[in-house]
Amino acid sequence: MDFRLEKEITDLVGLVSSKFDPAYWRKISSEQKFPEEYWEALAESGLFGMIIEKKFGGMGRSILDLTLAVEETAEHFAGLGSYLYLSGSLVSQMFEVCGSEEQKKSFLPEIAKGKLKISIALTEESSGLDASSIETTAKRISKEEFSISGRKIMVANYDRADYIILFARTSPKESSSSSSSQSKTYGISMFLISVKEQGASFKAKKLEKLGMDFVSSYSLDFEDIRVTSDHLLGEENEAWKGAARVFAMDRILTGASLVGTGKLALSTASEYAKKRKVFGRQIGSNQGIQFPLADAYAKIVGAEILVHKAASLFEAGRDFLTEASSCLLLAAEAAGIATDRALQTFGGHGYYKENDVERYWRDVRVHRVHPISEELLLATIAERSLGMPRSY
Amino acid sequence: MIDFEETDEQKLLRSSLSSLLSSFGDEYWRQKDEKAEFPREYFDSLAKNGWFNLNVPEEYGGTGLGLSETTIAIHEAARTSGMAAADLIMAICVFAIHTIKSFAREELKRRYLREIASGKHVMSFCLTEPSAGVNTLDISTTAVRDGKEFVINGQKIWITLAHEATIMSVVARTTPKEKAAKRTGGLTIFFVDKSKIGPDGEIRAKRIDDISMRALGSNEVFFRDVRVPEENILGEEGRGWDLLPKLLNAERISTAAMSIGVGELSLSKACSYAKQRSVFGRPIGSNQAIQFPLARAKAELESAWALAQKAAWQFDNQIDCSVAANVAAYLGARAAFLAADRAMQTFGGLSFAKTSDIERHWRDSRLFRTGPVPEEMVLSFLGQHVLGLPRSY
Repeated sequence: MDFRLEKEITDLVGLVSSKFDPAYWRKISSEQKFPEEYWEALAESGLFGMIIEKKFGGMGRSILDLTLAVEETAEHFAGLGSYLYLSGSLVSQMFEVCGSEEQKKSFLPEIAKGKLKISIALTEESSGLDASSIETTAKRISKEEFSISGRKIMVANYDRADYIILFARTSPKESSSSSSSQSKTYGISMFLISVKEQGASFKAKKLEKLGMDFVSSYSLDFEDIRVTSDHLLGEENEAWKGAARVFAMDRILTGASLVGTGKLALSTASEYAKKRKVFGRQIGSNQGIQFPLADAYAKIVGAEILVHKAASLFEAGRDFLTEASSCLLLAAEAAGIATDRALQTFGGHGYYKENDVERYWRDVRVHRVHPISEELLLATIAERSLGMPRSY
Repeated sequence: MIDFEETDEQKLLRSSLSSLLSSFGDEYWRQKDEKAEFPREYFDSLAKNGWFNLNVPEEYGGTGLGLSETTIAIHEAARTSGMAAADLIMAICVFAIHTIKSFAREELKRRYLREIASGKHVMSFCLTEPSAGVNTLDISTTAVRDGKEFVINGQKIWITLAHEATIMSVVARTTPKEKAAKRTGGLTIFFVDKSKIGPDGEIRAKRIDDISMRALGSNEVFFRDVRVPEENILGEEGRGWDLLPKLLNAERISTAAMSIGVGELSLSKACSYAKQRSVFGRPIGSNQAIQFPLARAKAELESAWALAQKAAWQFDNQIDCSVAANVAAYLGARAAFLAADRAMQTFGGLSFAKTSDIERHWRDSRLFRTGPVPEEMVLSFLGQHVLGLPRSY
């Protein structure tokens, strides 16, 4: 057993991140703008390359380092704005895990420099958590060419993307389910699509949402997009396994982002609770205010340790899915409680945008349903770790 | 680099303890609980197999392991046999051995560590009083100097195992609160051997009929003219307060391990039952209303255990462990009670039968939400020392 943390990475991220104060994020969110300056600052420090191998221009650090970095940037003061750092870094793993040597060579150095923005187009109207049921199809029309048609929703930052990773079926689900040796996810492929070249073929519509105003979300309609087979990322029909591994890593990192945001909300609320006086005394000296904040802190600490554990299991090459699920479940809940108590601590002032806590409160709610719902996390834990029967 | 994996030695500890525990089944513990009877056979077996040697330093003939390994033993005992089995390990390894090895004079260590390890003693830690629980500084038990001895008088309450104890550590005032040089001064901790308290000395323990860990049992204890030599002072005279964090952090980590272990025990019983019990033609565990709350309890127990591991590691490496220890104890106790309560619900009416053992785990796992430190004091600690909020009481 060992619980030493290396500080150098968090210090570097903290230094960069702290330049962007809550006022910056408040403005970005109210204008629903992409935080260009934050992205650039991270990019200049090489931080997007944290988990990219050195030979591809990255820092070659561990997933644990990235989780600590994500937590740090969230706590000072990006909140869920850390999602941009998280996804901007994690997308490299799609190439590391699934990509060909050629693709790694051409994409990873650019991702490391923060020069490429890549969005993932997976979710569809009728297929969210059950990814195997996607209906977007890529039909092989010649030896070299595919024609892709379908509709995607909830594609993050499509308007900023240089590329999208588009999930499509290259073999129908029926044929795969008829053969017991193949899983339901056989037939799913990933295509790497240049928005610059193919953007005109997408009918994009911006979706309005509750929070995370620094990230845009789009639905995409497309028909008969032609791509050559060198656009496949990963094996044809066999993309899901690698992608699922990256999505599982995403659970750990999202947990870290929530832990940092929870801490940010609690420190904001605590500062206020010390300053604000009602009935002649600091409101923080009331147990009705203080204890729920302390309880939320305990829950955040409880989630944080599982984030570290899941990351260390990943690093050791061991099964980490149960811990990744547990850490996301607890982190999303703890961040929800922390931001809600922060809003309560501010009283009526909490409802006003100038105090930031309403934004944290809105933002963190998404992670009780995304990237995977609480209910599916519970089912995962029940089946994998308690040996319970499937319940759905 | 962070690594939660137990070492091979630690895994071996678990498996060898587990085989000892397997000879004391649910029925054994159920009966001890019902009769409120000390588990002598289990105690003797632990001693005979060297378990009380675990954290005795090597120079005193022990195995020389730390709190991490002690915590693992406590956790293993709790998750296999329940709370009382685990608490007994804490009573000996933490309250007796850890206390003596950390704070006693050399002669006491030479004399008692071997005896304790061999199973000659049961030890009680006597802190709480009827009017002083978490407000330790308000204790009124006194120890008055008489030459080279001190004379202890006073009353304690909620003292686990005092009716079985042969040795005790007793927190007493050697300087009245108002005369102490500093607010936390004037407390002294004494090591007391019940067979050596002077001709007029009396220690009387009165068993409290309680609901948790009945096999061990809690007591009111009355001290009358108890004489102890000054060499028996643990730490320094008047500086007892300074020792408490080291003791109480070790206790927090131990109770966290116990809570978590009992929670896992409740959970594993509930899951076996949920898989096997069929209602409306399917196992009740395939209902999300049964399954999801159990899964939530599992996640919370996992998180608390990871923190307990970290706290024990910090403790052994002389790193401040107070946040991890307190949070592990807090989250662990809550998760354990949640697990036990969901086990009650999963077993349905069956859980109300004592033979199911679930109600015993449920009663036991309620304990550590209230004592040794109530949840409210953990929240105060976090509020003041982590969030920087003002004192609220």
